[in-house]
Amino acid sequence: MDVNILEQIDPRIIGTRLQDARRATGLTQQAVADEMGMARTTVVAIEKGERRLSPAELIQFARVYRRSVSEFVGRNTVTEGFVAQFRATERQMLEDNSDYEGVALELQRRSEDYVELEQVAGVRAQRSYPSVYETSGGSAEQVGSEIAATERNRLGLGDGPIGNLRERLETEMGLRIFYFSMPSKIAGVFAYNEDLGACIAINSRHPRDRRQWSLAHEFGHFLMHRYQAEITILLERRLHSAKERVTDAFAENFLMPASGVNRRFTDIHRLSPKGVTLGDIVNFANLYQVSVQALVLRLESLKRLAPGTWDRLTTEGFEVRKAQNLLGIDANPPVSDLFPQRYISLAVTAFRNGHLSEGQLAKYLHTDRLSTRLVVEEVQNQVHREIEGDFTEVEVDLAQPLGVR
Amino acid sequence: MAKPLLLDTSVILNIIATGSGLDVVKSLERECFVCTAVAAEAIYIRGEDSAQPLQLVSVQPWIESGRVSIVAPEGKREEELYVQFAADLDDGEAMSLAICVGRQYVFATDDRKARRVAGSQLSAPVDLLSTPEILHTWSSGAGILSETLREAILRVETKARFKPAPSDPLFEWWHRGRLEDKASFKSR
Repeated sequence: MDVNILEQIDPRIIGTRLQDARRATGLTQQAVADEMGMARTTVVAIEKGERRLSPAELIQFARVYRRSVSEFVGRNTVTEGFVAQFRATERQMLEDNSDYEGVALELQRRSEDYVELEQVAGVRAQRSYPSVYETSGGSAEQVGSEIAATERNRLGLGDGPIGNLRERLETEMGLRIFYFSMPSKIAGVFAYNEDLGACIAINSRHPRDRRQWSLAHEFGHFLMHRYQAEITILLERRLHSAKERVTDAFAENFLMPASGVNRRFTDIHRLSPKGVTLGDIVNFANLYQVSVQALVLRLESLKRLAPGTWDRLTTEGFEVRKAQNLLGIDANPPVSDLFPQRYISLAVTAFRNGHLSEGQLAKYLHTDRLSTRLVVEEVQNQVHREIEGDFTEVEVDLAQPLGVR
Repeated sequence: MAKPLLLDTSVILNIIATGSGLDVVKSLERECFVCTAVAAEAIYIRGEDSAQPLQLVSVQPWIESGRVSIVAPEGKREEELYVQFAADLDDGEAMSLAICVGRQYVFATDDRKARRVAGSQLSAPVDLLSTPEILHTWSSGAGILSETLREAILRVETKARFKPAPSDPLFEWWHRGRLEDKASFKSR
């Protein structure tokens, strides 16, 4: 029996989604009304959920916003919009830069997709969040350093380099971490609400070291400023903000703990008959997956290098990329996984169980059909071996649930 | 004449990968259609070598040949069906199925969920075709050598990463087809 599904969905839900889609395109309600051949007041009423849409109107809205119809009717998740949170904390920034709102919406969309996949799979979100840390009672450096030490201790990280920060935050705490392309001035985004949990997005266009720093920085916001949405902007150096100072101090101490950095520096010094070289420092930074600049400044603050060393190197024309090339360091590998591994596993499992179509899976993975099939193969870990003209498949399904007792 | 056929992306990708796409479509001897949402999708196939970048392909040559036409939902019923199916499928699949239900077209799709949703339309059952069925029809035609079929099947597996499920009625036929002329295969 044919049904008009729009009569079964709360018009406020569709209205909110249409409003989000319109904002992401930067169109005004009047511009949309003109395009749709309706009064602006009708668009307002639809966005408020005061007027139901006809299927033909929804199809037309989707065309105007260059979205798929399924985005408006195929989702069950309803959440408090991240954009509203960003407007509360970053109002001026959003008004000055309309594309920043698009980044907030993208993070919300991907996080909602994650929750949808959990619902399809019938699994609950993994959340193991520590309590929010107090940031008063000391200088930004002191507080950031203390929280970093506490968190390293809690996560059992010792004082060495952290090679798999993202995996740890995703699996041990249940943070939702995405990488996608953003305007180059944006380093990362953090937002939290009860429905979606803690969600982080990192600019995939940035170099590896910057991405690592941004992830530690957004993690710091999660620990200290959980209920305030945050867009971290480069270049503007908002060092006047106490919130940013303590978060940067956290990132610095979390990625480069004083004890570990000091001990390793001493070891390098002992093993270098002519003293610590620039090459040693470049390798050292690579080990900690931080930028050479961040490490040199850290060593300056720890009084292991003379104050002004980084400024001197810059003045002398030192080029980090050239040094890294000489040492065979690939400091800018592309992000291997734009989505959390668990997200991909949930999506592929849902597809294999027939809960998602191939087209839906492609949408969840933000890719084309062929790449989608390749992801499915990868998850299934199909190993193709050519044996006398035959292909033998050995399948190991990493998404298969185990009967844990 | 046989009922018109509407092709979904899952099948189009496979047919293009055969390298004989237009011949395959011609062999079906019926009107063939692609909906606007599917025609707008970017479709890629793998190159000969997996290290090569993916190749962007399209149904445009089929359309220019006049063998395939583009269609969109028409009328209130098809629009309602489209929006209804979009709650369960992606836009291309939903639009294709809405048109098939509305016009009694045959739906060509390999997708498990799309086939299930199509099968649930009790008031207007939708006939379905799959990639193996389409290639079987093509290979049964005059002049198709076993070597040609084998090449096509291997291309689908390599360039489109598609193989029928073991439960597919043509699973055995597919595997026999790909192993024909084994000596020639070894020399590749």
